[in-house]
Amino acid sequence: MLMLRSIAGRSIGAFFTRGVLPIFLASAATLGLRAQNPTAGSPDNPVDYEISARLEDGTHILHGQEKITWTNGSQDQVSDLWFHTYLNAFANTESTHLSESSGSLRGHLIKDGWGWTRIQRVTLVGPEGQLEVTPTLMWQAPDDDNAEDRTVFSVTLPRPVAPGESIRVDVEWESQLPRVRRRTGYKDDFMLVAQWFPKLGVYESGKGWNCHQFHTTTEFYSDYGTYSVSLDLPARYEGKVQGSGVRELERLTGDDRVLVKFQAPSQEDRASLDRTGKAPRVHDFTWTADSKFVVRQYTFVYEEWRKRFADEVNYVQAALGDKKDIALRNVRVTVMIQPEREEQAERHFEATAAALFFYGLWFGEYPYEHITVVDPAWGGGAAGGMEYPTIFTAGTEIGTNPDMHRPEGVTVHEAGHQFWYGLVGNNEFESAWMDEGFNSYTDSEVLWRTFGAQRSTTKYSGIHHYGEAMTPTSGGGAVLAALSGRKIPVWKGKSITPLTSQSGVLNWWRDQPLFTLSPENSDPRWGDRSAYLRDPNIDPVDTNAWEYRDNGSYRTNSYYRPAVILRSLEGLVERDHFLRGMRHYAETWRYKHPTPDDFFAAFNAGAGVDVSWYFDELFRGTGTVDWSVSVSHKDVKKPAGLFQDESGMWVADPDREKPGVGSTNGEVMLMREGELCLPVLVRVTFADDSEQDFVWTREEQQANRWKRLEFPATKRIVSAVIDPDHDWYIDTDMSNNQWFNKSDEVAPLRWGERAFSGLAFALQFTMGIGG
Amino acid sequence: MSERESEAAPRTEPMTKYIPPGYESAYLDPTPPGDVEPPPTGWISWTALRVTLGRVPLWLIAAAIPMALATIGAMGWYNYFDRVLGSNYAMGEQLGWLTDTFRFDHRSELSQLRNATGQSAAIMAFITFLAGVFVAGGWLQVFLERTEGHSVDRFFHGGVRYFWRFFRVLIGVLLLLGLGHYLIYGKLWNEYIWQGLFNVADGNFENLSSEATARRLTLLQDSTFALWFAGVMVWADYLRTRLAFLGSRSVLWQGFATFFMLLIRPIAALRPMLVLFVFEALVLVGLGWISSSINHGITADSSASSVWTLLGLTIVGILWMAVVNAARYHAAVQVTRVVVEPLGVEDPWENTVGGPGGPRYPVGQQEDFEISI
Repeated sequence: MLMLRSIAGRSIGAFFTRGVLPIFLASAATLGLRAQNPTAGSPDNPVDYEISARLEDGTHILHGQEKITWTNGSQDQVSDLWFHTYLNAFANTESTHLSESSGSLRGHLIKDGWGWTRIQRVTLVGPEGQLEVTPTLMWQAPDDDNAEDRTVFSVTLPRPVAPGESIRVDVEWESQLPRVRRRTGYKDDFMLVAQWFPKLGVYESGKGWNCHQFHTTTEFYSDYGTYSVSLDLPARYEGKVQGSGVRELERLTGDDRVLVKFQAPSQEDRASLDRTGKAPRVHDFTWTADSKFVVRQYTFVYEEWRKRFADEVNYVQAALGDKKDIALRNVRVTVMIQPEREEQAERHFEATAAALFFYGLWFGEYPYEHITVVDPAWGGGAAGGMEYPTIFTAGTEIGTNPDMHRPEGVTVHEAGHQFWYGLVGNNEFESAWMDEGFNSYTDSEVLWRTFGAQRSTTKYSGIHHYGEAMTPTSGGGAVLAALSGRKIPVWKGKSITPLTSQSGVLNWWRDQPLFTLSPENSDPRWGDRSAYLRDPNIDPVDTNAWEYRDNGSYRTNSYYRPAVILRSLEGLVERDHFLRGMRHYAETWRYKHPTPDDFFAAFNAGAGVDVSWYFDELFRGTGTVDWSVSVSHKDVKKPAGLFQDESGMWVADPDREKPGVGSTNGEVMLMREGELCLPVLVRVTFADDSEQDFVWTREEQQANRWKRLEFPATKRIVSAVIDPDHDWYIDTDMSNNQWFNKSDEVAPLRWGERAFSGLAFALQFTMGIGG
Repeated sequence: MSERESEAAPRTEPMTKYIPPGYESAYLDPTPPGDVEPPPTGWISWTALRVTLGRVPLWLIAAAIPMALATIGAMGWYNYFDRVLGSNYAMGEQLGWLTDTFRFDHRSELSQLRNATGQSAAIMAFITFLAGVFVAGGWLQVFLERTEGHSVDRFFHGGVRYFWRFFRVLIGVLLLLGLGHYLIYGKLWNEYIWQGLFNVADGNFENLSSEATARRLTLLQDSTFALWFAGVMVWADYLRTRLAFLGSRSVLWQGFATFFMLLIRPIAALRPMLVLFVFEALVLVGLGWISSSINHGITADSSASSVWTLLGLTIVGILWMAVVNAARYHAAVQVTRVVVEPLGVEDPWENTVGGPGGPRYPVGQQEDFEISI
């Protein structure tokens, strides 16, 4: 680690030397040594960016220059450089990003507000001087050969970069920020400026540049390093701008401009080691500004949370071992929130702190001194729900409560990305699930522990009411629509819609929600299962993000199915092993680029188990499982018929005895549908309050799809439950996992009553229209 | 019943049966000329509620209609849950709320059940339209006659008697609501209100600068339609009352007349309706708050009594709405008596002679007659 720091220090020092051509060609011998003996935790290809940019007021045109120092961490001679220019995804409808989404992003058909990046100059800077390589610029489309896509370009180097060698390249560019429709852009005065500068792809040893086009369903992949960014902005943004890392300088320049400088990570963070013994780095830089932002400052204090969740801390400490340092650093949290939602600033902080605490407790601390939560402006919601290093966007609305998990749900999720996408930098193009899936698993655990179940609401004119309508009060085709006054044909295809009321006020009166809505609470962990089962066996999880069948499959397999697989894995290996495995993976691959196999290996090593079969079947297969149970009782009858006696004769034996005659034996039948064979617990409870647990093993299931458990009459079965501890979230149908000898008589009454109330008030309403 | 018994039995058929068509209004109110009801005061609404509450069988009948239909719809839900929960779920597991797993694992059945309920509800909505038409006629018959006793008979008689007239009113109501929907949620509103006044293109509130503004505008639009709806309802109540009061059959003409009456006498006409609405809303919100508290407090350990209480509160709520709905007609009758002049109709007995209670004989112009005592 010390060696790495000395290299970084020299390179940064050289770049900041003024008046001399920035020269950096690190000692090949030194870097070669590093390449031959990579230390765990060092970035694969260290890269440092020094960016300065000026934003033109009104036009949202940005002029930028960047100085990139890139080190070839591979074993290969690298003869070109590949860059991402993500903003070009928003240039026209023919880009890969927009054509894959049929020209619509987050529900909006893109008709204006286009964004683009124009590369003006690419220059290599070396001891010999400067060499412009712009003429060698070629637009690349490695994934789909889309000639209209301009999200990846390459330049050819005059000579290859040797392993361990560093190179300095300067890029000048001009960008038009798009009207924010997805992830980046502006809305009025608000800006979320992400993926805004030409950014190098990742060079992988033996494979070449991994620099995918910007697909609709893909996110990012880049090397770790440092960012020094200088922004020249209109003066009204003074105090209302924030970016990755820390803001180290803000100064008005003249009457109408402000200069803002950032360091990501902060100089202090760069110079120190985190608890895993590695120097913090980041792999991107994003900034935001809005003259209307209300800025709130908080501090996440580990000690407060440790006391609040002492049991969990003790459990994790026991699971990871007494010697493991699981303490977390305090972190400054800045909430940049819209004035009309200012009262939610504290809730944004609370959710962020929950993520910093639980994710940190389980997978290792957040290593940076600062994190920023951004609340996008009204109309800029398409920028919401995105993660960038040390800064992320949430998403909320007026009039919500914490138990609605809004903004808590999205805030925990995006803050949680800091620990997977941010710290364990897997390839999000090819293995999006290693970020989104792991994060979905974790955010549900955090939400459940911190905020409990999510309460559903129904909105009337934008005002939330707890509960959902049990029964619809209208339906059917054209005839019924006409009869019920919803759509009455009038003349030549024209119709009137007297009772297709869009009025929330009127609907409130019609529905009488205080009487009619039904409570609906959702456990986010089970919500993951529900989302997974909407598309459970179309694609393997381990698929390139842009190669899933469709967007639905991408979401299922990148978010919910991995979450369910992990949660089930927790049940399979038990939680303490699970925590050790995940922690080991997260710490081993911090600031690096793990592949799925790296994860599998690290988990096995950390957990002390070998569940490679599980990973293979679950992440690379499409199998499912549905267990079911049924119980039957058989009367033990007195033997009848002829029986062979000692002489071999068949004779009647009316006095023949048989144990248990007159009583009833119980039989539990277990069944399995689907291809997956996973060991599962079965619990049978008896009338005398005793219970017996059985494991239906993987081997037994591989041999047979069923298993019979028999019990004598003395053990009267009261219930039989498959997976009573709910370890297997992956079961596709849990309605057949339980059997009870008594049925619930109140619940049918309750839901009948809800249906009655809903219908009665709706019909009273229509009757009032009649007269 | 024998003819003799029939003669002996009190006459129950309506008097209007014997009134020439077109002259009902002159005979609707049996109040003697000297016993004119005093002009309505500020207590119209209270009086209306008090009188209506006294007609217990009538509001029970009125409220029973939606509740009976809702019971039919609810039986499907009860049976479904009785069957599905069966032995597959622990006691109370699905009582407080339906769990994530239940909602998902039974999603297709629940979807079918919802579809079927929606279709049934559409048919029921049509039935309740007609029931509302019928009930309105019943209430007006009772309130305009101010009879003592036999109110159920009079109620049903009124329902039948005014049915087709009020059915035409229903059509008018639906047309006006459709018009309101077109005006308030259609192109015109987008163009002249959103675009013209607030510079919101295509009704896309994202172009606004703040969420609060968008919320307020949504509320404004929704409230406007709700007001339109309320206005149409009040207009329809007065129209029905006017039709019954005047014995007119011209829904269109009286509809215009009612509209102008509302314009000319807005306070007299709208105040009692507003007060009744406030009464109705206050009671409903109060009951609803209790209902909601119980509803959201039900857990796996709750007993059936909580459910029965919810059911009871819903029934009370529906009964209350039925009462207030009827009280609106009573209030409308009171107001109409004051602000609407009865139609000037000729005295059908003008050219007849005969003593009170006895036979009357038509008198011709050239007829020579005398009365001998």
